[in-house]
Amino acid sequence: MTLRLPSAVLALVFPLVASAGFFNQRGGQQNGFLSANDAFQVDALALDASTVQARWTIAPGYYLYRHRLAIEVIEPASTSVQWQAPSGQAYEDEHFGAVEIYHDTLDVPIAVDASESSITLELRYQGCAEAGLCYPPQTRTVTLDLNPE
Amino acid sequence: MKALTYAVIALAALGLGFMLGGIERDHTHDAEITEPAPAPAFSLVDLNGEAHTPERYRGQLLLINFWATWCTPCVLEMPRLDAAYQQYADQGLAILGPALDDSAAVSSYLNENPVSYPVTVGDQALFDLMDAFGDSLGALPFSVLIDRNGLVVERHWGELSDEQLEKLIKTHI
Repeated sequence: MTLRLPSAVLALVFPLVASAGFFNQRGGQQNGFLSANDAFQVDALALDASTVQARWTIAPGYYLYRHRLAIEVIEPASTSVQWQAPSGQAYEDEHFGAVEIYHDTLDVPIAVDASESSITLELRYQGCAEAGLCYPPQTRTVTLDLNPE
Repeated sequence: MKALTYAVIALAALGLGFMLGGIERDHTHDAEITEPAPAPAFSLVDLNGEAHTPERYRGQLLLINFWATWCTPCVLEMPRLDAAYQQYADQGLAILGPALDDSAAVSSYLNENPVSYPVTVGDQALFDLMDAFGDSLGALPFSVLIDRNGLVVERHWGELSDEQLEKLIKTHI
C-alpha cells in the first residue's frame, strides 16, 4: 500500500480546515451564539375555533423569562384572548432577583373569544444564553385561521 | 484499499476539525481579527450632551461596551468595567457605554449604579453601529476594542470576566 503524498495531504488538510472553520461564523450563529430566531423558535397553531396554542422551542443553553412573556390581539379588535404563562423553573437572577425561566419547550394555551374566522396575535418574549448574553425583547406576529381543517 | 485509507484520513481530519472548532466556540466568545480594520464612523452623544467620535479617542485605547438595563450580564460586568477604567485611565484607557434602551430606564439605573465613564442612549442606530462593528446578533453585552491608531483589534460577545477584561486591556494598553 503506497499513498502518494499530495493526495494524502489533501485528504487530511481540506476536511480539517473546512470543518474547523464551520464554527467561526455561519448562518444564524456568531461566535458560538445563536441568533434570537434560532435560540427561541416560536410558532402558533389554532387547535379549534376557540383555542390557539403558542409554542416556543428553546435551544439547549438558552432560556426565556416568564415575566417577559406577553400575548396580545392585534386584530380583529373585537376578539379577546385569555392566557396564563405556565409556571417556570425558579431562578435567582443576579439583576432581577427571584424570577421564573423556561428551558426546552414552552406551550401556552390561549383561549379565544372569536368574533371572526381569523386572528392576528402578537407574541412578545425575551431571553438569554446561559453563557452570558441576552437578546433584546422579541416580537413575533402570527395570523391564524380559526377554522382549521 | 487506497481509497479506504484516504477516506479514513479524511474522516479523522473532519472530526478533529469539528473538535477544534467546537473547543474554540465553547471557551471563547472573541472574534479573531486577523486584519484589524479602522473603526466605523460614529458620533454618540452622552447623557451630558457631549459628542463621542473615534477621532476624539485617537491615541487612546477605547473600549466600547454596548449594554442595556434589561440585560443581566451587562449590568453585572459594569462595575468591573468601571474599576478597570479607574485603574487604567491614566495609561490611556477610555470606555464608552452605549445603551440600547430608553433614557428613563438608563438614567434611573445609573442613579443607583453610577459609572465613571460616559454613557450614551439609543435604539436602532446603536444596533446599526453594532452591525458596522461586525455583530450580526444584536444581543448584549457586545464589546469592541479600538487601539490607539483607531483600528478595531478585538470583539467580544457576552459578559467579560475579570480575567478576560484584564487580559484584553493588558494586551493592548
